[in-house]
Amino acid sequence: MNKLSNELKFRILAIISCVVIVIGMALGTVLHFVSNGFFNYGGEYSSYKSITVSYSIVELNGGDVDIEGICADVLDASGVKYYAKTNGSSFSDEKQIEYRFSTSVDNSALQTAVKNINNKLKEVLSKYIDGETVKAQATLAEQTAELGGGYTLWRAAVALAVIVVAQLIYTMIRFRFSAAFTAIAIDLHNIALYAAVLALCRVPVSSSALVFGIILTLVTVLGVTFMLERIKRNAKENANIGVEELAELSARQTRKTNIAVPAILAVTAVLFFVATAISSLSVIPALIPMALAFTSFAVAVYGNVIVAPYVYIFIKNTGKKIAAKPSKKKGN
Amino acid sequence: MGKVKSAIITALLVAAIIVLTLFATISFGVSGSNDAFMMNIPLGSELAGEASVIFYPEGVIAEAKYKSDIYGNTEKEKEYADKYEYVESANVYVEKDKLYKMVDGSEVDARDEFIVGIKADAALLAERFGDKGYSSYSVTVLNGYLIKVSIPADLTYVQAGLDDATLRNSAYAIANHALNYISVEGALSIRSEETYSDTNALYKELDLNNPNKFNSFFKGASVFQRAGTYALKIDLTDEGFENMNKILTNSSDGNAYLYAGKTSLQLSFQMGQELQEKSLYFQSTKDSSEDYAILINSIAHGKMLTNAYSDVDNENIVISSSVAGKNAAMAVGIVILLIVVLAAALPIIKYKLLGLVNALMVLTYSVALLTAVYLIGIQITISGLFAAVLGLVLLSFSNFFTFEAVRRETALGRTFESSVKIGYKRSMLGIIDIHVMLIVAAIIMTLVGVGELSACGLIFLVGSVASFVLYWFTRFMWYVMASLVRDKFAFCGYAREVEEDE
Repeated sequence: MNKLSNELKFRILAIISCVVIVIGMALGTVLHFVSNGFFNYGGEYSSYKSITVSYSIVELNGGDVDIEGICADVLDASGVKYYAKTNGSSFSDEKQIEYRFSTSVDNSALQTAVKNINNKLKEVLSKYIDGETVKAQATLAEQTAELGGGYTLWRAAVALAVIVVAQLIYTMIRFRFSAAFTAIAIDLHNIALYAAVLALCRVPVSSSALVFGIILTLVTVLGVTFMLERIKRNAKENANIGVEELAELSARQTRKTNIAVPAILAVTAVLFFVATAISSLSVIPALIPMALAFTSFAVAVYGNVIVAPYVYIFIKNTGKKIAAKPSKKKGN
Repeated sequence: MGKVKSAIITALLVAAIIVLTLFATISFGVSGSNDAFMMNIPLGSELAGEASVIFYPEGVIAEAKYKSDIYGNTEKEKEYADKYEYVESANVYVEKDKLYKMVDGSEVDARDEFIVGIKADAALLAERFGDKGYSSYSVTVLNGYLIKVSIPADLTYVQAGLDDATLRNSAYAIANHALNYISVEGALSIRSEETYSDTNALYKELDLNNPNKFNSFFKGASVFQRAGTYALKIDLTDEGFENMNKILTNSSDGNAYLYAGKTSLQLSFQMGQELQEKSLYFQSTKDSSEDYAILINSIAHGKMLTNAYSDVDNENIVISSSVAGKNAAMAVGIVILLIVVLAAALPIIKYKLLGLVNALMVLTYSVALLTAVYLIGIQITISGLFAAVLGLVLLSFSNFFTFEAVRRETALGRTFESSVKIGYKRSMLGIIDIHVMLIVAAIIMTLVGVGELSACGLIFLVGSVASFVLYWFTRFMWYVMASLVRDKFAFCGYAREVEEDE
C-alpha cells in the first residue's frame, strides 16, 4: 500500500467504504420489505417465546420450596434452553419467573416443558399445602415485538445533523474550509458506514445502537479535531511542507490516540460484557451491546485513522485544482 | 511554593476527595441518615429491571379470572358460557361478539380481524411509548390476543436489591401513570363532570357531525418547564379556540373536564371564563405532563386505539429483574471501579509522582461526576456509563498529551518551569479545540436528543466540563506537589538529556 500514490489510496478506500455502504443500505432496504426489517432487530426489539411461572409465597408446613431450582431442573430435563431469565414481583408480592426462548425453539417441546413444570410444582407443593389449590403455574406465550421509537430516532437524527453543522462552523472558524469539509466528510462517512455494517452483517440492533452511534460521532469529533489541530500546528511549524507529507505526519502523530480512545472503550465494552455475563450466568443478553460497541469502535478507527488523512489530501488537492482552473484559462 | 504550604494544600485536597468518596459510597447505619448517594441514583432497565403490564382488550379475560368469577355461582357460569369462548392458544376467554360477526344473516369468523386490530394497537402503543424517550422499552403482542408493555422500573440500587413493594412505591406510581394514560383508547372530549357518563359531553352542544372532529381542535401538546416547575401545554387551533370558548361560556357554573375516551385526564377548565390564549397550561409533574402530551398528540393526529384495554393498577404491574441478572448493577459497578483504579494507577508507572497528580484528578473526576449525576437525577444506563468513561478518557488524554509535550521540552534542555510553561502553551489550543467541540456536541445531544440520548449527553457534558476544569487543576496540583520534592524531573519520571545550567 505504501508504494501506491495517495490519490490511488484515497480511491481504493473510497471504493471500499462506498461498496460497504451501498451494499449495506441496499440489503437493509430489500430486507425491510421482504423480511424482518432494515436492521436485524434484537434485544428489546426482538420477538421471543416465554415460559412464565407465577406463584405466591405461601406458608409451607415445614419446608422451603426452591421453585426456581425446580423449574431449572425440569427445563434442563426437557431439553429446552432459555437465553434469558427475569425474576419479577407484583405489588401484592406475587412472584414471577420468565424464561425467554428464541422463536425457533419448537412449540411442542415448550408445551411439554410447561406441562412438566406444572406437574412437578403440583407434586412438590402438595406435600406442604394440604387441601389448598397449588398457587404456582407455568404458562407458555409467544411474544411478537412491535417497533417504536420513531420520535427518539428523529430527534437523534436532528441532534446528529446539528452536531455536524456545529463542527463545520467551528472548524471553518478555527481551521480552514478544507479542514471543515474533511470533518464533515468523516462524520458522515463513519455514521453511514456504521449503519451499513449493522445492516450488512445483521448485527442485532437494540436501543443501544442509537447511543453507540452517537458515541461514535463523539469519538469521530475528538479524533478528527485532534488531527486537524496537528495539521494546523505542523503547517505553522513547517512552512514548506507539502499537503501529503503534512497529512501523513499529522496522521502519524495522532494515530496512537485515535486508536487508543476506541480501544479503551472497546475494553470497557468487554469488561461490561464479562460483568453482565457473570451476573446473568449467560453470555447472550450481553452479546448485543458488545457487538454494537465493537462495530462502532471499529468504524471509528477505520474512519479516523485510515480514511481521514486521505480525505484531507483529496479535499485539499481538489481545492487547489479548482483554484488553479481560472488562472489556467486566463493564461490560455 | 514552600514545602509546608504544598503539603497542606495536598493534604486538604486528598482529605476532601476521601470525605466525598465516603459520603458517595458508604451508608452510615445511623438512624434517620440517608444511604450513600450512589445507592440512590436511578438505574436503567438493563441494570435494575423493568416494570411490565399485560393489557387485556375489552372482551378478553384471563382463564384464572374466568374461573374465579364463576366459582360457586351457577348462574354466572351459565352466563359466561353463553358469552365467552375459550381460546386455547392464548389461555384466555374471549367474548363471542369479538370472535364472530353477522354478515348477511350468517355468522362468520372475525377473530383474524380482531387480532389485526390488537396488532395495530400494539404498533400504536410502541409509537406512543417510544415518544416517552425511555432508555429502553418493549411492546409485544402476547399469543395474538394480549399486549405486554415493559418500561424501565427506574429503581435505585437499594430498591432493586430489596424486593419489597413498599420501598418501590414511587416506581409503581410513575409506571402506573405512564402505563394507564399512554394506553388510553378513544377520542378527546370535554365533559361537565369528573365521572364519565354518556350524557355529560359538552362538545355535543357544537353539533359536530363527527365526534372525532373535536380531536382536530387540538394542534398538539408539549411539556412546558420554567424554573423547575412543569406544566402541560396544550395548543389549540383557531377553530378549536373559538369552539372551546363557545363551550366554556355556555354556562357560568362549575368546571369542564378534558377526557380521552372514558378516561378523565384530570385537566379542568372554569366554566364561564373565556380563554385568553390559544395555548393552555396545566401545572403537573414532569412525568404526568409527558404522559398527557404523548396521549393528546397521538389522538390529535388521528391515531386512536382500535380496542379499549384493561385499566392498570399496582396489582397488575410486575417489576422484574434485569435480563442481565439480579446483580447486574453490582457487577457493572465493579467494572467501573476497576476502570477508575486502572486509570488512576497505570500512569503512576510511567510518570511516577506526576502520575499521582493525575490519579488525584481521576478520583476527583469520578466523585464529581457521581455527585452531579445524583444531584441532577440522571438515570444511569450502560450507555451512560460509556459516556462517563469517554469523559475520563478525555481527561486522561488531555493530561498525557500535555505531559508528553512537557517531556519533549525537557529533552531540549529547558528548565523544569520553562518546560511546563511551554509544554502547556503548545498543547493548550489543541486541548481547547477538542473540549469546545465535544462540549458543544454534548450540549446538542442533551437539548435536542430525548431519553437515553439526552441522559448520555448530559453525563458527557458534565464529564467534558469536569475534564476541562481538571486539566487546568492538574497544572496547579503539579506545581503544588512538585514543590515537595527537590528533583522535579524525577518527580515526573522524565529523564534529563541535557544538564541544567546552574
